[in-house]
Amino acid sequence: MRFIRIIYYKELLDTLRDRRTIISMIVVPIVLFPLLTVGFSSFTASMVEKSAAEIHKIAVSGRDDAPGLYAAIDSSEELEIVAVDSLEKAVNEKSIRAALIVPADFDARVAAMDSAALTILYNAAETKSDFAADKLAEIVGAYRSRLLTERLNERGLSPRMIRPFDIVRENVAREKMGSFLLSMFLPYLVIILSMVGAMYTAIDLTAGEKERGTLETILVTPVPRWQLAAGKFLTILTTSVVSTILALTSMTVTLAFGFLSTRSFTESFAFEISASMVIVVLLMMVPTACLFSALLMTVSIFAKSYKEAQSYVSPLMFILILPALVSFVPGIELNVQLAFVPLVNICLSIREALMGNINWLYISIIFISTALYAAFAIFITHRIFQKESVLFRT
Amino acid sequence: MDKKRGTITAAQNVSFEVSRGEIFGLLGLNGAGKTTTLRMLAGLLKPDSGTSFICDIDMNRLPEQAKARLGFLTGTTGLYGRLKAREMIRYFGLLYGLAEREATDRTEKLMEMLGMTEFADVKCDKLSAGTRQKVSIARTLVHDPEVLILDEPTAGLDVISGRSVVEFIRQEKQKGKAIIFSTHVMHEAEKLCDRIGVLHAGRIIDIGSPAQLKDKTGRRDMDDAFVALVT
Repeated sequence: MRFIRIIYYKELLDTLRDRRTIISMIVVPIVLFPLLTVGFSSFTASMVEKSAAEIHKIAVSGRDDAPGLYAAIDSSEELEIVAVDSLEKAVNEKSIRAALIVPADFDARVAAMDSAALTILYNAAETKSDFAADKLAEIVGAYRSRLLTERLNERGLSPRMIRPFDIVRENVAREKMGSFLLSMFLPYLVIILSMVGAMYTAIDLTAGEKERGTLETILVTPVPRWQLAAGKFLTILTTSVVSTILALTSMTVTLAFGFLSTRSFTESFAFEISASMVIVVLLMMVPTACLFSALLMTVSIFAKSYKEAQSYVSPLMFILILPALVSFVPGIELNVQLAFVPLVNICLSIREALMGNINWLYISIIFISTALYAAFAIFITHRIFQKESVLFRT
Repeated sequence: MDKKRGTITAAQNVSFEVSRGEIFGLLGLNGAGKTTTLRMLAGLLKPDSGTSFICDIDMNRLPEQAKARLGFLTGTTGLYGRLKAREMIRYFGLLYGLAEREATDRTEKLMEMLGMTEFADVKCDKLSAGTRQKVSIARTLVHDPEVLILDEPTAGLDVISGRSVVEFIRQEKQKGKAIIFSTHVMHEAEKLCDRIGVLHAGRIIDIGSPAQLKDKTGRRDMDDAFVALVT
C-alpha cells in the first residue's frame, strides 16, 4: 500500500506542475466561467433594456378616418408616427417597426355601435418590431376600453355588467425560476465536468507515459502493478473531483452574485441551495468521477501516444454525453428502473434534488449502483494493467 | 526461455548465465530478439516457458524480490520532464523500496558521484541529453542493484554521452555487479564484454569471449566474425 501513496504523491506533483492541467482545472473554471457568464448576461440585459427604451417608429394608415385613435397613439412617448408609402414594405425594410391599418369607415362604424377591425403589421422575426407591435396593441386596446366604458355609461350600465367574474392565477411553486434553470443545467455540467476533469490526466498518466518512454522504467521496479494502477487512478479521480467542485462552486457563486450587475435578472433567476442539495450533488458526483476515471484510464492505456489516446477518447465522450442530455428533457421523473441506468440516474437525481425533491432511497440506490459500475470499470482497468500486449503494444 | 509475439517466436530456447563482475554482451541484428530477451529477464514480459533467476531468485515466482535486485536501463527510456533531477532519482529510490531517509541519502550520493549536483534542482525537461543520461544512470543505480540489464544503452547518444555510459558500465563491473547488455555496435561489445552471446532470429547461435569468437570464425575483426556467424 505504501507504493500507492508514493505514486499518488508523485503523480499529483507532476500533474500540478503541468501548465495545461492548471489552466483547464483551475484557471478556466475560476476565472473564465464567471467572466463569460457575467459578461454575457449583462450584454443581453443591456440589449433588452435598450430596445425596450427605444422610441419606435411606426406608421398609421387612414388617420383622417379615426382622429380619436390617432391622437391616442400620437400621445404615446414610446412611439413616433412617421409617413411612409407602403406599410408592408417599410416594416420589412425596417424603416418602421410596425404599422396600423385603420379601415376607412372606422369612426362611422364605431359611432353606429358597430364593430370595426384594426390590423397591426409587424415582423415576428425581429425583437424590436415585436416590442413596437406590443406597444401599439396596448394603446389601441386602451382606446377600445375607453370606447366601451363610454358606450356602457351612455346606457347607464356598470363596466362590471360585462365582466361577471375575474380569474386570478397564482404561482404556488416553492422553487424559484432560477432553481428550475439550475436543475436543467447543473446535472449536465456535473457529467461533462467530471469527464473533462479526468480526461487530460488520464491520457497523460497512461499514453503519455508510453510516449515519453517512462512506463517501462516504472514497470521494472518491484511495485506491484495493481498498486501502480491504483496510484494513477486516485490521481485522475482527484483532478476530476477537484476541477468539478471548483467549476460548480464558481458557477453557483457567479449566478448568485454575478447577476447583481443586472438587477432585472437577479430576481427572475433567484435560486436556493441547501446543504442537503450539496450533499446529494457530491454523493452523485464522486462515484461518477470514479467511473469516468477508470473508463478513460482503460481506454487511454491502449494508445501508444497522446494523439492516439485523444482519438479514442473523443468518440467515447460523445457517447457518454448522450445520457446526460436527459437533464434537459422535461417530464422524465426518477423511478426504480431509471435509478439503475448509469448517468441518466445521476442526472435525474441531481435535477430533482435541486428542485427540492430529495428521495434518499433513490439516492442510495444510485450511489451504490454507480459505485458498483465504477468498481467493475476499475476491475477492468486493473486487468488491462496486467496485460503486456497492451502495455508494450508496438 | 521462449517468447511468442503474435505468430513470430521472438526468442526460442535462449539460455545463458552471467556471474558477478562479468559483462555479458548480447549481440544481434535489429529484430534478432535482444529487447524481448532482456525484457523477459527484467520481468517486463512473461516468458511462455522458462524463467530467469536473479541472484538465485526466480522471476516467475517472486518477481518483486527479483526486480528489487535489478537495474534496467535502455537507450530510449524517458524521464519525467516536470520532475527535478533530484526528485526523479529519489522517486525511483522509493519505488525500489528504500526508506525515505535512505532514498534521500542515496540520491545525494549518486548525484555527487556522477557530477550532477549543479543540475539537482533543474527539471528534467530542461536538461541536456548528456545530463539526462546521467539522471537515467542514477535512476538505474539508486537501489544499488546486484544485476544490471542494459538494452542498447548508448543508442541515440552522442560520443561524449556514450562514453559516460561505457565508463559507468566499467565501474559497475569493478564493484562486482553482473552486467548484461545488448548492442549492435560490434566494437563496443568487443571493448567491454567478457563474453558475448550472438543472438540471431530468436536463438543464441554462439557464446564465447570476443577472442574465442574471432578464433572460431578465423576473422580478425569482430564485425567480420559476427557476419560469419549469422550467415
